[in-house]
Amino acid sequence: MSDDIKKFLEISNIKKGFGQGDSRQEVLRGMNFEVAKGEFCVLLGPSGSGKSTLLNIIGGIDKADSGYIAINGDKLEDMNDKALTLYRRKHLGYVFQLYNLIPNLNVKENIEVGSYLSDSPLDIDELLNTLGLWDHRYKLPNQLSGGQQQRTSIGRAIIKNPDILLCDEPTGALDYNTSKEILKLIEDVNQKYGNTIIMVTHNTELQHMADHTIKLRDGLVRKNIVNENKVSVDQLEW
Amino acid sequence: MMSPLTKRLPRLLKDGWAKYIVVFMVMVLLIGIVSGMLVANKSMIHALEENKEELNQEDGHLELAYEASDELVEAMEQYGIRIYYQPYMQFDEDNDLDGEADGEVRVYIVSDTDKIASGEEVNGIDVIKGELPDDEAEIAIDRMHADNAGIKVGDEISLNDKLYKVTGLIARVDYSTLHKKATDFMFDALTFDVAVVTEEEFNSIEGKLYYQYAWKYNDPPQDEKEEIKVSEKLMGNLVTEIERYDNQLLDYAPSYANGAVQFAYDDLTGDLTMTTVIMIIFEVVLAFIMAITTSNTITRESAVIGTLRASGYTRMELTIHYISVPVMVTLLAALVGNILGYTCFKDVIVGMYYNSYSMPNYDTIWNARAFIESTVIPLVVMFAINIIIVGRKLRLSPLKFLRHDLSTSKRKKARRLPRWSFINRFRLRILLSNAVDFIVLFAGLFLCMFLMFFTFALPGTIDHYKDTVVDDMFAGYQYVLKSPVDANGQILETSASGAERYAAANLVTDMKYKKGESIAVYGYEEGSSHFDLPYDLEKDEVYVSSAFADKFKLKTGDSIRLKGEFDDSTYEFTMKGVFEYCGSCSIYMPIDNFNIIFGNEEGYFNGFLTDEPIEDIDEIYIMSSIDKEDLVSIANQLDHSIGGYMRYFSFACVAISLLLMFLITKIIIEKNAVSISLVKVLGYLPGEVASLYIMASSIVALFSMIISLFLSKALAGILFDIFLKEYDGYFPMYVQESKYPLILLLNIAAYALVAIIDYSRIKKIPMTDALKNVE
Repeated sequence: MSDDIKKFLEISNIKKGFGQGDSRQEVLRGMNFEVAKGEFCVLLGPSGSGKSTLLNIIGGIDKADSGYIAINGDKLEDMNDKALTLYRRKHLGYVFQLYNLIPNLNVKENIEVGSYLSDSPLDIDELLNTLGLWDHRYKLPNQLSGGQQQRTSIGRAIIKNPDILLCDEPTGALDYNTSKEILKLIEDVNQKYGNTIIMVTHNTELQHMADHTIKLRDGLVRKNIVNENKVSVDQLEW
Repeated sequence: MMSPLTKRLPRLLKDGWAKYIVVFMVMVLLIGIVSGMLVANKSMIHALEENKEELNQEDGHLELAYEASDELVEAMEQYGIRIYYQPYMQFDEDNDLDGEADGEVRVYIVSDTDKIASGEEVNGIDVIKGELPDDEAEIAIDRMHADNAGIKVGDEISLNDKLYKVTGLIARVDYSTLHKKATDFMFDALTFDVAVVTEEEFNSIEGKLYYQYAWKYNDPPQDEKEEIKVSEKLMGNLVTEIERYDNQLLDYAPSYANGAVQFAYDDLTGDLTMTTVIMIIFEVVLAFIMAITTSNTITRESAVIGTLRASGYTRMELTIHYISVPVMVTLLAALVGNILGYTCFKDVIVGMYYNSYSMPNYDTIWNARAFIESTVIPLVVMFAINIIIVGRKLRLSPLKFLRHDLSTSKRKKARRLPRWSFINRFRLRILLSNAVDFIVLFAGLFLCMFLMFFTFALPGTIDHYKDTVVDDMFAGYQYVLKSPVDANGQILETSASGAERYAAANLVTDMKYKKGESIAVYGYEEGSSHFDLPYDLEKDEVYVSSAFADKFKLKTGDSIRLKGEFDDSTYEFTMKGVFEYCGSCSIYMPIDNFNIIFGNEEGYFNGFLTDEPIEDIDEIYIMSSIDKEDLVSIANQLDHSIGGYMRYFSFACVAISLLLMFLITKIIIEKNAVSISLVKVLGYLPGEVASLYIMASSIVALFSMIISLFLSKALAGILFDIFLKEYDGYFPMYVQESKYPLILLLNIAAYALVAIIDYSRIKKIPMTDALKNVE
């Protein structure tokens, strides 16, 4: 893998703290790693390791105290609010642990929230079928199961075919079987559309389905592992 | 032990301070105004009622063509009344001493305080400033007229070419409003004055004497219903006696039908209900706003509520906790509102009454009704609406709260929407999911615009009346003669330009729509230049003034039943057409038909219409005259009494609608904060987010305004007709077409300000809101 390809997403010496004075807590203490285009990267770590904070900074919705993040060489730190919004609009898709669907829009409309942002979105009906949501497309989020809501959330994220899909504990609120379904879906998306996926999780077993695992603890990268023998989620058990 | 949740209340107040401050301000304003109005009303009514007793107010009065003989007085008194002679004279008043008449003044003899107290005289005087006259060339005049004309104690005014020093400003108990005639629709404190001079001075003045006699019942009727019955019977008896003694009844005004006595009292009592109803409706709107706010807080805190419920807190404990803040805000607003109500608001309202009526001195009195309506009712409304809505919301199981599943909808699928663009469907979803908030917004806006509509309609109607009544005038001057012949039996003639004879009489309606409304009946000459009407009409055919036709909803061919004002004679006419005249309810017929119908000799007439003032007929033969100034005096008085306040009220309405829009849109944005935050995270630009959430509110606000404007127009028209039905005369409600866009623009401008604030609110919603586990 060449350096240019590897440097599709570059995280360089990112530091971030919260609070002031004695109560100040350094969450990220200088993180460095790179992610290649199309890579499935897992950020693995226990609670408080800083993985969600890092994801928010990558997503351009939080700012680092120092260091920089660059995507294709463009540094987020140099971007103003509007540029950051356009960055999210063009390059990012978000999947949250609690789905964060808009409660007054139905499934199809929630996905349209994503497609509206893209000049060349995927075909929504085809995607609804792929996600297994066709029969539920006119339901509101509160009429869906957790798995269906998460599939909708993934649909909203990928319909604009983003360069990077950020997944923050996407199975954190789901049962085992549903979690596997969702992970399988993310895996399929990665393979089918070639999006770079950065997934935050505390489930160590999931590192085996990733191309690349970053292990975090206490705000630092403890291990940066390239997985040469990744397996399909179907083969994982936890 | 006090619930530990109580400690949270200050924090809840602090978190929603902007909303609570706005609600508090609106409530203080409403409660203060209502409390001030009720206290002022009660104090004023109390003063009027107290004066009625202490100053021995008449039960009615009548006016005769000639002085009543002792026998006639005795004959009249046999019908259970005591008669009091109270003659007056009427002069031009020149209050700036420029040699030109500024109005008319009706001069009575000053009453004797002892005789009033002992019941020997009626209609005593309350001295507001200065003192009563006790020498020649001294006069005390009506306080309100003096204020309007800028006359102060010590000033001089000219009456009948004689200078009088104003020694005092007074309120006669039988003139709480300056009605020139008991049946006048409106008083005229601008150009009409009532004054008193000493008996010696009165007797020394040369002028036409009006023979007015007041009466008091020996056995007063118990209520107005009985009073009407008694006075109607009395009138019949008096007419018989008056005719028997060769006199003529010119005016008969029992107190209940005398505008000068009753108008202010009716208006004071009428204001109360309307104001209270409007305040309660506003309270309901505010209570809904508070309930929606609390409901949103519950949604936001659902996991905590679920935990508390699971831990053993009862639904009632939580309900009381969540409704505490709205109730506390209302309680505080009631306290502050009442303090302001009894002080500055009361003074403002009293000032308004003194600006319109000749009110006596008053003392502020405690008003239990004000306490109930301005304090208890708002609290009950706030408590009831909040406990119902919050109680219902908290009825869900603890598990549902823990799962953030607060939906009570049984729908399996979302409502299908039309095939609009995604953005428009998104907006529609926002509209549907915030429907309750938008309904409250509509209700609030409608109320504000309805009140605002009135603030434009009243001055507009007055101006329109002023314009049209002058345009519609039959002639420049209209004279009513006492009789068509002079003392020598010669028919009265005049050389005034455009002079034309006519005959007139007064009847009252005996129709289903309204009985007892005074109708002027005119007989016009053939080829009349003042009445452009055909002469070849059947005996029962009449033309009807546009005011009469509009008020009674009459159309050509309709039957018109009238009866005698003071007797039982009945008349039935058929409407032939409409004569454009908005000045009074009247009917028109050829003078020959008029004389046949009223049993007059052929050629009888009792008035002249002229283009210029008559100067060649002695004043003693003229009963009354009407010119342009007389016709517009009603409108001028109305304009003076209410015109100035209307501008302030319209701005107050805009301010309240602005605050309501501010509150509702704030609630909507707060309710959708996570969704707004989320779409920001997803990459929507601030303008796009605003176009979704602000546009939805904007559409509702704009439609609410447009619909409210049309509804206000329709409703105001109906209410105006109901209001006018009670009074004689008619002028349709009129709002200049240019005022409609103005009303809209004022509200749109208010909304634009709110939208700017909303845009800033939306921009400030942090994206991290979407990333938090909703709590």
